Amino acid sequence: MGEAAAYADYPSVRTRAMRRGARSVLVYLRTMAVFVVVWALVAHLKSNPVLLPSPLAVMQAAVDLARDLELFYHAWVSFARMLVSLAIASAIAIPLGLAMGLSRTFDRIVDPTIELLRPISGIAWIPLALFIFGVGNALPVFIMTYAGFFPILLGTVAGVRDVDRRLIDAARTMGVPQRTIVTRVVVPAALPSLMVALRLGVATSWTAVVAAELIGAPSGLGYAVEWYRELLMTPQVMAFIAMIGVLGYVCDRLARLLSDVFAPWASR
Amino acid sequence: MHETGVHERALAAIPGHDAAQAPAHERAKLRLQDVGKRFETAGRAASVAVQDFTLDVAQGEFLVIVGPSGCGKTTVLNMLAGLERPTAGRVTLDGVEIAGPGPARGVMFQDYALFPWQTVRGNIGFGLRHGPAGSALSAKERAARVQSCIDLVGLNGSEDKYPHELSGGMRQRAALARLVANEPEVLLMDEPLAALDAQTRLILQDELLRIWGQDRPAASRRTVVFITHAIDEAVFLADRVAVMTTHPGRLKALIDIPLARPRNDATRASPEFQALTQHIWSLIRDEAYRATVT
Repeated sequence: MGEAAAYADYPSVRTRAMRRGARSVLVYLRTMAVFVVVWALVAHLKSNPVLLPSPLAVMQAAVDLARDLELFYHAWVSFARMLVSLAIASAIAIPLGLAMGLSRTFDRIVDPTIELLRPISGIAWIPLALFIFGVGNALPVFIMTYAGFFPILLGTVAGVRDVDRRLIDAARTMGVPQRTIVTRVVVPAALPSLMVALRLGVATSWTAVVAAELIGAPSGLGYAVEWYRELLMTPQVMAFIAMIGVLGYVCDRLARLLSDVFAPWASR
Repeated sequence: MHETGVHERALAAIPGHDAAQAPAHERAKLRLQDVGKRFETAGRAASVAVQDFTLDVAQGEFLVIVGPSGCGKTTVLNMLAGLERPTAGRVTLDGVEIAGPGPARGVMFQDYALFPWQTVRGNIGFGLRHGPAGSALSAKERAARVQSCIDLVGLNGSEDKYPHELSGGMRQRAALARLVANEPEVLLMDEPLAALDAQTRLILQDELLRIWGQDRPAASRRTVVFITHAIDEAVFLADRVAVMTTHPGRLKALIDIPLARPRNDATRASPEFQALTQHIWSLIRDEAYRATVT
C-alpha cells in the first residue's frame, strides 16, 4: 500500500496507469458500440416498438424515469431489501457454517437438510410465501435471504475446513486456549473465503430479486418491470432491466471492496 | 588422524550411548523412551513412521536430527511438541509425560506458519496476547518484550509489515522472534532454514546460535531440538547430531560434535568440521542414493 502511494509520485508511472485506464474504457466502449449498433439494426428491421424498441427510445425512457426519480426509487428499494436479506442470511449462515466446519458431528446432523433444500430455487417458494407473507416487503426479503443463504453457508464451511492446519498448530503450541483459537485463528484465516462466499451470495440474491418482486411486492425493480410490461411500455421495461444489470455490477464491486477492506492480505 | 578419531567417537556412541550418558540422564530435559509411531489408514496396511526411538536431550543442549527425507524426523518433533501422540513408548519433559502441546515447548514450523492477517509485531505478540506466556504481563510489558524480540532478530523497520510483504529470510526471523517471545524452555525447530537461499542460510545459522546464547554459559541456554537434512548445518549448530534411518524411522547413530563454541566461519573451514560432515554423510549416503534412484 505504502509502495503504491510512493509510486503515485512518479509522473511517468501515473500517466502510464491513466493511459492504461483510458485504453480499457475505449475497449469497453467499442464492445458496447457493436452491441448497440446490432440492437438498433434489428429494432429497425423489426420495426415493432413494443417487441423491441430502439436503443434511443430506451435511452429516452431511462432519462425520463431518472428525472422523475422513479428509477432511483425502485433501485433503492430493491437494494435496501438485498442489504437486509444479506444481513439476515449472513447472521444465520456464518455461525452455522462455522459450527459445521469445526464439528464433523454437527455437520453430519445438519448437512442432509441443507442438501435437500439447496436444489430448490428461491422462486419455487414464492407461491407458498405469498400465502404466508402476502404482498409486501417480507416476501422478497424472504426469497432473497433464502437465495443468498446457501452460497454463504457452503463458502463458510469450505473456508473453515481449508484453514491451514499449521496455523492452528502454531497457536496450540503457544498454549492458546481452544475458544481463542476459533476466534483469533480460524475466523481470520477463513475470512478470505468468507468474503468470496459473500460475493456469491450477493450475486444469487440479486438474481432472485426480480422474480420475488415481480409477484410479491408493491415496489422495487422487479415490480416496475412488471408494471410497465402490463402497460406495454417496453422502453421503460428495458430501462429497468438495464438498471438491474448496472446495480448488480455495482453490488459485486462493493462486495469486492468489502473483501479488500476486511481481508487485505488475501487480495493479492 | 582426525577422521579415525571422529569415527571412534561415533561408533562408541552407537551401542551403549545410554550407559555412557548416565550423568546426563538425570538432568535430561526431554526423554524419548522406546517411542514408536504407526499411522493407521483405513483399508491399507499401517505404516510405521518411527520405531524403537530412544533419546535423551540434556538441559541447554542443541540437538540436531538429520536423516533422509521420509525418515520420520518431523514425526519425532511433532511428538515432542505434543501435536502427535506416540503409539508406543513414552515422551517426557522434565519427567512428566507430554500429553499435548504446551507453551513450555515452542515450535518453529518449516513454512513458518506466520499468521497472514497479522503484522510482524502482531505475530510476535500473538502468544503473549492470547496465550499463558503473557498473562502476567501488562500491555506495556508485552509491547516491550515484543520490541526486544524485534531488536533481537534485527527486524527493525519491518515491524508493521505483513508476512506476504517480507522476504524468506525476514519471515524466518519473524518466526524466530515469535518463538522466543513466548520464552519456551524448549525450542523445537522443523527445518526452519530449508526454504532459504545458501547465503541467507549461513547468516541465519550464525544468528540462530547467537540468539540461542552460544556466548553465554551452558546453564543459561535453552534446550533446542532442530531438524534438518543439511549435514553441514547440523554439524555447525549441534552439540550432538542424531542420525536417523528410514523404513522404519530409527535412530542410527548419535554423534558428539566437540567443536569449540562460539562457532563462526573459522569453524566451517576447520578440518574437524569437514571430517564430521564426511562421517555423517557416510552414514546416510547409501540410503540417500537409494532414495534418488527410486
